[in-house]
Amino acid sequence: MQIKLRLFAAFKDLIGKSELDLNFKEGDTLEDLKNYLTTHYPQINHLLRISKFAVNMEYQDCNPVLNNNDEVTIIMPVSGGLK
Amino acid sequence: MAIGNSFYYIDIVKIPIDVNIPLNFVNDAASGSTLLFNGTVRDNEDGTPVKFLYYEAYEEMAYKEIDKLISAAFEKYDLNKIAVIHRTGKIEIGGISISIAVSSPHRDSSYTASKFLIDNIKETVPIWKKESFGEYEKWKRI
Repeated sequence: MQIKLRLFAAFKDLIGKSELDLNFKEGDTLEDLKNYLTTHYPQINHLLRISKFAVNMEYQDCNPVLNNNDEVTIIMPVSGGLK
Repeated sequence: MAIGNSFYYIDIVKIPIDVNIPLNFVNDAASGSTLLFNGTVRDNEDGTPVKFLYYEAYEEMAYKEIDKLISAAFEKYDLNKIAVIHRTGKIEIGGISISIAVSSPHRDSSYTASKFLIDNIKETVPIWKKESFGEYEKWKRI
């Protein structure tokens, strides 16, 4: 299934793109997406650990199963991202 | 693109905020109080000189989150109208980044609701600012 990851602020700068189209297996969760990012974009790990996620524009406190065409965003917290 | 109805107004703009827009919107014959709050770009961050700020929003979600906070403010306080405008892009020192106008029958509700709105907008609305210190830059949540 296809997931769109929207990137803003420090994440956009550190990855160099404003969005990523990612492929995941049916049943994969937000945690799987985080693990993917940790592996493929280690430059954001320091911010990822303290960030929240939104799926389809709703903040997520737990670990939802992702669905095809979901739009996921990393919401950077109060401060961070020295350039 | 602005959203709202006859009681509230939300806009995220890339041009300088005209504060008459939120003020005129909340102007209401049933109100004895109209209050305008402007968030402005400070020339320093904890003493370090700031050159300018650059704001970026996840706009679709920002509208949604501001909408939720406005609904909460109407539930909590005795208000007549609310207008919230946030600017994105580069803003020079002294420029207005956010303007919040509220009107209410009595002043207490205007003051408490205005503070409730700005405090919670900073908490939950996905808008970020990049502080430019000249030599380096730093992203922050608003």
